[in-house]
Amino acid sequence: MATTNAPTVRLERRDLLASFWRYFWSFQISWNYERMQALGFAYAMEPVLRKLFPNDADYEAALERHLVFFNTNPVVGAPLIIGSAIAMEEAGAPASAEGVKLALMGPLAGVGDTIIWALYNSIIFTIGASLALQQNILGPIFVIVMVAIPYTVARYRQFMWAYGQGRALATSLASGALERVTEGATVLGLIVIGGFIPSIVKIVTTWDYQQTLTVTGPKGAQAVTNKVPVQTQLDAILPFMLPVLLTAFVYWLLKRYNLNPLWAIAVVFVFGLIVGWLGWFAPALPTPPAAA
Amino acid sequence: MTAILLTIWAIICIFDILGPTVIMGFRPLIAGTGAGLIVGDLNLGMAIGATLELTALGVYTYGGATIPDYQTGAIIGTALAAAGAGDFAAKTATGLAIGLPAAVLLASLDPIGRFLPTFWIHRADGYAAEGNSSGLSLMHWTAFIPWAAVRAIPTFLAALAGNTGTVQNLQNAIPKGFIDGMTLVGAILPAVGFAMLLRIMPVGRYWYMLLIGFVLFAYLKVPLLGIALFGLAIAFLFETLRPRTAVGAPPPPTPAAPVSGEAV
Repeated sequence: MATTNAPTVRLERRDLLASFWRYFWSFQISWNYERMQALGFAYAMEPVLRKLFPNDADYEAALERHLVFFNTNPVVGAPLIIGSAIAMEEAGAPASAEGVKLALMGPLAGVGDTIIWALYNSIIFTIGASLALQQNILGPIFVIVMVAIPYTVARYRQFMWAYGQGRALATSLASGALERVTEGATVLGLIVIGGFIPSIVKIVTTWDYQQTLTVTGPKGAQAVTNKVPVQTQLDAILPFMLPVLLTAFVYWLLKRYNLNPLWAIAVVFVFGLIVGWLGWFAPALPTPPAAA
Repeated sequence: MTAILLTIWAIICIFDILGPTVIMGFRPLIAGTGAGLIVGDLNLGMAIGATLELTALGVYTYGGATIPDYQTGAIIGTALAAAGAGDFAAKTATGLAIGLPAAVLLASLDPIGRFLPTFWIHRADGYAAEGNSSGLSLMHWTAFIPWAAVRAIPTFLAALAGNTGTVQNLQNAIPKGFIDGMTLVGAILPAVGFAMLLRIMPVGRYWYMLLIGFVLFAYLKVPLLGIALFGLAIAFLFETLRPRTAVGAPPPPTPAAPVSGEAV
């Protein structure tokens, strides 16, 4: 075993910031299949390692130690792990740094991907996209503001918090807080999706059916034929029935047959193109001529 | 000139998600809006980007998996649609008809961009062993080249093609039925986005949460942001009222094994 001399140097705030900004600007730009975020991790650690290990041999060993396979969520997860790895390197516990990286990258990737990508982003982007569809430039602006500020703050605070926690990090994370946050975010996500489906997915049928009624009037029995839009009938049963049914059908396809999403897109694409072309269905009913 | 600006925009979009993540440029909504700005038709870029966005909800590269390249699809779709003729609906239809297949086709280039930096990391190993920090930095930053190239080159070529007028000729031949069809496609593709999102969520356990959102919109006509705020309140309430003993369901991340016993 190489003898690692515990560093005698203390890190200052600007050392931490140097590392943070390296992570911030370029963490994943060297991502590759073999070791994924490894080079980004080593690049972020480099200024700190140089300071901690004035001895070249120790420094080289430290760089190599952080060039091993690494992958986690870049927004929630990576800053936390870099911050704690720095704390442990500073404490002269490189094996703990490696242990924390291995132990946390998987679970944090799961939590981060769920909360940030699947839930938070989907909500923000659905709102932004629906504004954009109404040709409102506030849609994209809303999204950028809701990404730039919270993400940057969250990344910075994770990094500094994890550095401060040091060895206590794993215990802090194990308190069940992460699980509760994920659960709460899931609840929020489902409520929002429940409202988003009818508001965003737009399909109505343009079909009519002939209804023949026998009306008994002063001139005796008389057959009256009138056109009844099918959509009106559907709305009377359940508003937004077609969007819900369509989404449920695609969900069922994906779930039941474990369908590749590309095929689901292809199915919906072809279906929409054909029935739209034929004029059977449309995104919205043509506005009726103003009644006299 | 437009072609060069679009190419730079495609590079900025991929750089943003790999690095700063401040604009989420890899989402089609942002990529399409930026492309719209560049080609001088902001609304067109927003419409194409927003439609692709809703198709791609919840679609992210989990664990480095390749997904359709919606960002570049949105840029190319917007560029070519803007070069064509016709009214807004016709252009949007064209943009979707180009952008969606482009996103799928470009996904086949993504693995190349993810594979090539492997050579860079081996060079970085060498620099690390020598303690050469500038060499290490150089490898890190230049490993971005393959990532950028697989997006920049197709964008540039497509944008050039847009200038030659081929799109315009193509577009004059588009029947009205096709535009109606593509408009409907754009309106129902979000169903795929929502379905994919639902697939990764515990719908079986919390199906009634979907119902709450549906009733809020369909019957009570609450706007989207209102539903999100209501959902936030319910989520806090739900987590507050939940008995704390129930937390022990799946074991939380196990602490790092060698925390105490340092190998010396």
